[in-house]
Amino acid sequence: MTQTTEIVFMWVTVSLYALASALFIIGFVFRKERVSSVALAVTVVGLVPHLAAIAGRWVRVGHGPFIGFYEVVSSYAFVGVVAFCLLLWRYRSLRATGIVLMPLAFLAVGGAMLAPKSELQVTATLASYWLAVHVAFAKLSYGSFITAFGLAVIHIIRDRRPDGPMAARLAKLPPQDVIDDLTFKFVAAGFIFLGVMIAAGAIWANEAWGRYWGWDPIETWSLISWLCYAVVLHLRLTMGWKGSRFSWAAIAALPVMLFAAVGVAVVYNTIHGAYLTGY
Amino acid sequence: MKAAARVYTLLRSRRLAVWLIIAFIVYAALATTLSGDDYSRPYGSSVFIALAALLGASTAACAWERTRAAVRMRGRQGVTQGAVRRLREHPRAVIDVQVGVEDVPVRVSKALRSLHLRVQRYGEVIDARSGIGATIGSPLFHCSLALLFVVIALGQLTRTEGLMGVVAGGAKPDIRESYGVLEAGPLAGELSGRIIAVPRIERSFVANGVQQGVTPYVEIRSPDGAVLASGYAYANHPVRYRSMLVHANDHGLAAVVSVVSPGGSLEQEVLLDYTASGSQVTPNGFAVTGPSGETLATVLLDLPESGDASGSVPSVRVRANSGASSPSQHASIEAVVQQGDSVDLGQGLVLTVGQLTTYARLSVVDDGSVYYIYALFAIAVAGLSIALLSPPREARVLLVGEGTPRLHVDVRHSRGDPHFPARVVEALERAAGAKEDA
Ligand code: HEM
Repeated sequence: MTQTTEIVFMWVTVSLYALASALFIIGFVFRKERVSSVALAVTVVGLVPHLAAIAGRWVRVGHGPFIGFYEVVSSYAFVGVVAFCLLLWRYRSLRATGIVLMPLAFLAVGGAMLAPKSELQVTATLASYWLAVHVAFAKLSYGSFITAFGLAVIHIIRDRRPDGPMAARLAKLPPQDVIDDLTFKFVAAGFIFLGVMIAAGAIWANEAWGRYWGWDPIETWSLISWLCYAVVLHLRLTMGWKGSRFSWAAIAALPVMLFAAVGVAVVYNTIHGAYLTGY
Repeated sequence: MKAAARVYTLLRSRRLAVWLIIAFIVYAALATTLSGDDYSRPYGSSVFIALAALLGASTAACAWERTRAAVRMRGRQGVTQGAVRRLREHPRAVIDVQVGVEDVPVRVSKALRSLHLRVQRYGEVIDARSGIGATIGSPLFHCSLALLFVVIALGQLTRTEGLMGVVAGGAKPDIRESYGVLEAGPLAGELSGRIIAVPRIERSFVANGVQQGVTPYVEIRSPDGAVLASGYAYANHPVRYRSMLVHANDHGLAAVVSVVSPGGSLEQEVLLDYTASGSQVTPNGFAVTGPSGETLATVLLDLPESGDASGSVPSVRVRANSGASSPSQHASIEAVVQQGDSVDLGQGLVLTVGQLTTYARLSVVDDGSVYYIYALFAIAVAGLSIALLSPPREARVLLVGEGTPRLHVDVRHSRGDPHFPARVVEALERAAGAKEDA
């Protein structure tokens, strides 16, 4: 696939995600079930050009989507939207989460399109299959934490004003205790994935540099976000935080993780900089 | 005894655990932000070591508590009178029995087994619990975590990591004197004494379709010369033997020179320590001593200033002074020579550049803890997965009523999963014939 075709596919994706976002919001505000169903269909259709663009680029440049802002953010959005569709397939009643998740996906892909799309080569240091494990589990964990965040927001909205207009629109969702349990499960799954991600990174660092841990900011911040989620889990399992208090904890931990994922390379001078900024 | 018990009570406190983890987070965030570019420095401070030790001790105490709780749960046999009374008086669910009463125990057991529970009968009560797997998850996780603290600390105390330059075709023993830089933990013993040899260095080496550039072929030999491990060392591909890991860190130009004096001759390897990018030229030198130990001449060799850094520079600058004064500021003799050339150093000393060649700068790490850390982490993740995804759960069923038999059901899920009671009740309703099979 040429780069031009890829860019066309990506813009089609951006447009479809934008359309899906608008439809989810319209369906939610005017309580139109049909519109929300169409929104979901548009989302699934949007995945096709998105996948084609990622795969086409993968074949052309010879490495997976993990180097530079454009590739990284676009592939995160892809994994996130796939996870969202799978979640809706299992729990149809969670459709209202689309009003948060699809605009996020739209912004991510749109933002990625504005970044330079230079085709950075895999350097000899990056050529390790631990990289693949590392990146795959990073995406799994970020996807899980973002989903937990969305569920926690829903829980809080319904908890604060059970009779309010927002809660009424979310009435079709599963009961609060199920949302609460799902939030916990996604936090738990994300915690496991993040643990594997950190371990794979450490093994890779040992293979590449002879040390498994060097307190580089990216390493430190991934450990910090892992420990933040350990706190969240402890609050629930050892201090009995359930419901809204737990939801707030799951919400508060996400910014830390997002900073670890995309903020660190911008703020600090790190040997992992190539991952996002591509130098 | 009392004090020890008090310390233990404090350490296993769940509130303390949360605060310690938070303290660790705050320390790491501040340290990384405020430390400038030397990111690892704050983690050698006594404050951090004390914090990590406290968290490790607290985790060990909790691991012990989790283990005891699991053993207690395993050992719990039977059903208490209180539990039977609760079942009779305040069941969580009541299900009408529509099948023959004599079939009920078998059908109920089967239904509970289909939920992956182990079924036991205690008098009138049918009790079903998750298996051993569910109870060991949390202790396994916290025990491996506590051990990780210990193993990582031991590794840091005993590990050695250093850089040595080995000329193509040459070898150096793994002893302190062979290293240019060596960091050794405070409890590191003697180095291994193995021989690190570089039989050859490839100018350009391709592995897995990726150009690796200048690549040394490395052999790790036992002190008596037997080859223990060998291979090309390039990115992500160290040569390893047990806990020893040899990475190619860089390469540079080396000179093998000999100095002939009236009294004898001396052969010397000199690493002209420049990096592949050519950014740094560090002179390197040696002293020539006379028969009674006096310094006859001090010699420095480096790249001539106009030298290009492509790695095939054919000439070397020789500077020398008679006596011990360093030629780095002022040299009485200065010459740029090529391989095979000689320089007269005066006093009957003649220096000959026998060979201009490449050397490999090898990073040699010896850390016996690494594979234990990997193994413990794998166990921790397995334990964690069990603890979070398959936690302890239990269901109890009591058959009551003569004429209109009913099942009284009680359900416990250690994570409070709201689906679990529903699934138990649904399975039991089917078993009791109160609900048609789907
Ligand atoms: C680095 C330190 C620690 C981390 C990363 C950590 C992480 C976790 C995680 C992920 C869980 C949920 C999975 C499970 O049930 O095992 C958990 C549960 C738990 N942790 Fe920790 N933990 C740490 C230290 C501690 C300490 C110091 C204590 C001592 C109070 C503790 C006590 C517990 C308890 C009681 C549970 C609940 C177990 C249950 O409900 O089954 N943990 N911890």
